[in-house]
Amino acid sequence: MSSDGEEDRRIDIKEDEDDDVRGVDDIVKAKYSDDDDEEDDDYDDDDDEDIRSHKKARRNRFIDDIAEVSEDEDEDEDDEEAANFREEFIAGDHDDEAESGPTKDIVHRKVDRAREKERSEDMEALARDYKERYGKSSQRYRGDRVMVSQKLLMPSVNDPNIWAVRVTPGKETSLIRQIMKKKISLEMTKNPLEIYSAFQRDNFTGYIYIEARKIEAVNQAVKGLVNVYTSRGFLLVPVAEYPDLLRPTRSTDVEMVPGIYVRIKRGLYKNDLAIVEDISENGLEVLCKVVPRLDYGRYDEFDESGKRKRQSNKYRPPARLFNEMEAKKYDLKHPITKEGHNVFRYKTERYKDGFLYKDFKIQYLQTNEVNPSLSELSKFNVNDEGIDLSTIAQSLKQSNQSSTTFQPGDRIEVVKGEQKGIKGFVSSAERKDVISIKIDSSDSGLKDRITEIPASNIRKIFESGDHVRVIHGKHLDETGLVLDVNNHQVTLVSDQTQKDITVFSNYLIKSTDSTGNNAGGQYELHDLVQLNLQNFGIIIKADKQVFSVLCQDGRVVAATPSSISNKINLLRDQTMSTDANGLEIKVGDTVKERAGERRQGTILHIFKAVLFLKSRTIVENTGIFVTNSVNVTTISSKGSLSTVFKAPDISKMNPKLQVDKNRQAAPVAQTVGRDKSINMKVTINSGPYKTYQGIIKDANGDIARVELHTKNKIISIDKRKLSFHQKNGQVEPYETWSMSTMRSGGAFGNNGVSSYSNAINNGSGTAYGNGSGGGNKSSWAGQSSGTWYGGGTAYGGNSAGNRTAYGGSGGGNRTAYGGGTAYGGRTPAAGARTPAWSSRTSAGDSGNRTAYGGGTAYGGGTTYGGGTAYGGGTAYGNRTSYGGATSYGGATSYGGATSYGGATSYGNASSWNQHGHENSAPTPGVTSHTPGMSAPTPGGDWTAETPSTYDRAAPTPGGGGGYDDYDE
Amino acid sequence: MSLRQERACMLCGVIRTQQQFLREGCPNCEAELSFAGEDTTNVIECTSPSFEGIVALGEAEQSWVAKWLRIDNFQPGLYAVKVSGKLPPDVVNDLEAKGIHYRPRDGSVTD
Repeated sequence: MSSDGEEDRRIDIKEDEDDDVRGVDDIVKAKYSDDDDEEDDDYDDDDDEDIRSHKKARRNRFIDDIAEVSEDEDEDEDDEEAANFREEFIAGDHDDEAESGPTKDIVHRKVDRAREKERSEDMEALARDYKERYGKSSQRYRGDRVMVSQKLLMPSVNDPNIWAVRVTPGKETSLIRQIMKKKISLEMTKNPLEIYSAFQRDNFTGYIYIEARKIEAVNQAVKGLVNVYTSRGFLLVPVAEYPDLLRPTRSTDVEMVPGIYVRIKRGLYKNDLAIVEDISENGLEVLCKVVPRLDYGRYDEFDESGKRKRQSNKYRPPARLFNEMEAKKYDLKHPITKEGHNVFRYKTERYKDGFLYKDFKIQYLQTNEVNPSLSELSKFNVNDEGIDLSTIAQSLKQSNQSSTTFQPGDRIEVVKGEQKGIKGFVSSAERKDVISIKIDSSDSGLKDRITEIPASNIRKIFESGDHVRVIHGKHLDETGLVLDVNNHQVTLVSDQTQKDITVFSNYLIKSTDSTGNNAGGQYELHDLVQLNLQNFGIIIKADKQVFSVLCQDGRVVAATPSSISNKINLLRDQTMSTDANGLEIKVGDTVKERAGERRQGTILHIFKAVLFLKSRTIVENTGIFVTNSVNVTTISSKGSLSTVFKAPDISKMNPKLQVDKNRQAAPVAQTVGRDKSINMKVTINSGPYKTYQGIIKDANGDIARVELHTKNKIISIDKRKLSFHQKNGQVEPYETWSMSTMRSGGAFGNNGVSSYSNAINNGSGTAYGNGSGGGNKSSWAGQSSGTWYGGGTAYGGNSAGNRTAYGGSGGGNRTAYGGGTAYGGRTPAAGARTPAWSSRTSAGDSGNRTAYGGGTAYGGGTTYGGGTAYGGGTAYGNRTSYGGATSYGGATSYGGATSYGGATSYGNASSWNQHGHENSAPTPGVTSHTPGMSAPTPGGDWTAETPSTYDRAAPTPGGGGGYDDYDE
Repeated sequence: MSLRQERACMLCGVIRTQQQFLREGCPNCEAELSFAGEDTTNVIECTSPSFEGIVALGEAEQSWVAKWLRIDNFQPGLYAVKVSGKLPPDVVNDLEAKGIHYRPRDGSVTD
């Protein structure tokens, strides 16, 4: 009662409220009329009331009147019956007061009986009532008795919403159970869970679904549960999708029917393939045909007591058919009973035709994704009864659909479903699972109708003689000719292995090409391969397992990849040979046989004077033939950079030009780093492209690849045929341009100067030599050393090398100076050199003047006034005068050295450079002479005069300390 | 898919353990299938250990899910969407005699 206390109070309050409306009588009626539509609470209340009233009645017998009269306040006033009874009883009691004890007793008993009766009636009514309310379920089935089609049950918008809730995959069922518990436990509380149902489906992993009117209820339901992801909210399932959520069969389910292939999930035969033979009536057990795994007790181990030890699960006997003889031979303990032809019972299991027939529980069988392999199937296929591929197709449903590709035009047959037996062509296969076909069966009135069929319901039809390619399975990519078609099985002879293979028809597509690409192979078509020490050849056909190799002797051999020792990789240089005429031939050239069939072909490989050629006109060996290089003549040579200039060049025939060329070539050869000419704008001076303009895209030595402006074409051309457009608009021939490019070459100037100034400081000619950085500079330094210190000596020092160098070195003046020396030119060498120099300056006629002309190149015309001083130079010619300081002073020309001080002149020095380099060889000669001549050198004089020069020249030398003094 | 020993009634789809079936019977079909008792035959024959899709049924009358699965008149509890197996034919006949149409819950019947 205590637990009901609260409820009672609540109900009392309710009733008080009711009082206002209905009055006491109504309430009483209501209480006893016991309507079904009353709340449960009311019934509890009634129950309580009744019990209470009875209790009170019973109690009355033992309570005195006074106590009875002074009825406690809380006694329900509306308990009319009880009250009446009480009155009656009390009255009776009073009457009985006078009567004797036994009489009194009878009365009591009577009353008791009456009460009992009343009470039992009460209870019966109660029980009836209870039964009415709750007993239905236990008494009779409440499921629907009328057939209501599910279509009428389709959800409407008035139905509750279903929310999908994300949960940890695998926890769905336990969450449903938790929600169920939660729902039950909150049922009787103030705030029950207002969800109507919750469910999960195995094929919607990661979600549970909760049916409720309001999302708050869903929230409440999953609140506090782990493995529920609420952060992203709940997904409201569209009403139209409700039925899909509760479809009893999953699309991936395979109907368990006799004949299908299944896999066993547990036990000894785990993962083994089985064929369903029969299904028990209730569908819970399945009789399967399995290849038994028996060892007939051969490897049983026994412990001391003779009991067989349990074998480890790892070991299991291989799957082999039951063999009566072996069983009898090895297993003596277990009798074998023969139950019929080829039917045995051994160890309680039944074996028929060697197969084990065993009942498996349905939950231990896997019907999806069975994927039987042909080797497994072949074990079942002992009696040549053929494999029922339709069942396999069923087993393969879903899992392997992707591998069954239907292409428009495939000839197919419907093997399952309403349209079974209809043949047709695939008209479109946009989806993998549904194929639309054009019906071809003439007997049905459906011809040319287009219909859609699930891919799993159709199979491809092939006929003997079709050329097909395997697109799935072990024989992937093999091609072959169909020999035989037996239902779903197609036997074909492989082009590759020449063996018969049998595959499912759906694993084939029609194919016209015979050579599949050789997947994973290291050899490719037309590879030159070494077969053994003697033999090599070219692959003319690459199949999956076999290569056809055309050997050097013309034989065609079939070689497996393992029989090929290696691929011959030759560098381009190595693949050269000469033809019958001694002309060079190389890969890519087109040659023709001189004799025999006079075959013509393009060279694919050259190896040891053996040519492998490919012809477009020859059919055999896919156009590839082999011949010897001495048997062929060149028809056309594949164009390349080197051959462009092979043609005789008339310009080379002029020996003069030839010499000039050679001379000019040298400096170019010295070029290091990126070719300066690249990206230069050029004009072509001669040849078929004369006057064309273009940009040099690439250059290699003297050859430039010029992209023409007009034709968008790149030609290879000798740089000497080009004029270079400078940035300042000047157009220079290659020679000039290359020189000027050299000049701008960079570091030289500075180095030269510094070495120069160092030399000054040291006061030693050798120092100049030291100061030299690079070849060019050093030569210059060396020469200048001669100049300065040797001074006249050097000049006197007659060595041509000296002078020339000198001339070169100084720029304007000194060149002139050098020129002077040249005049002094006693040494024939000098004479020899001078012209060279002059030619360089491109001045002209005679040596000396030329030199001066060279002076012009230096630019200072006025300096040339100094040139007159060179006239004094004639005095140079006179050695003594030269020794004379004056003459040196007369080197106003030397004053002209101002120009020398000028940076520009130094720039010239760089151009000089080249010559200096050329002439560097003679320099030692200078030094040898120097000592003797050093005495006359009026070093002091000379220095006295120079300061002005060097003042101006100051920026150039950059650092000579001695000069700084002069500055001050 | 299901906890060990749990079975689903093939008639109403309710999920209980075998022990529960033996002890308490089916909350909906006990009158017809009488599971409770010592004899396990009925439980073995008329319930299935293989079922899928668990529904926690609360207020059956208001639930569309219950209506769709035709469990809207049943007691609250756990039900299976799909129950593998079928009732034995004699049981089905008995049910038919009582005016109860048996609709297998294994997905083989669609309407």
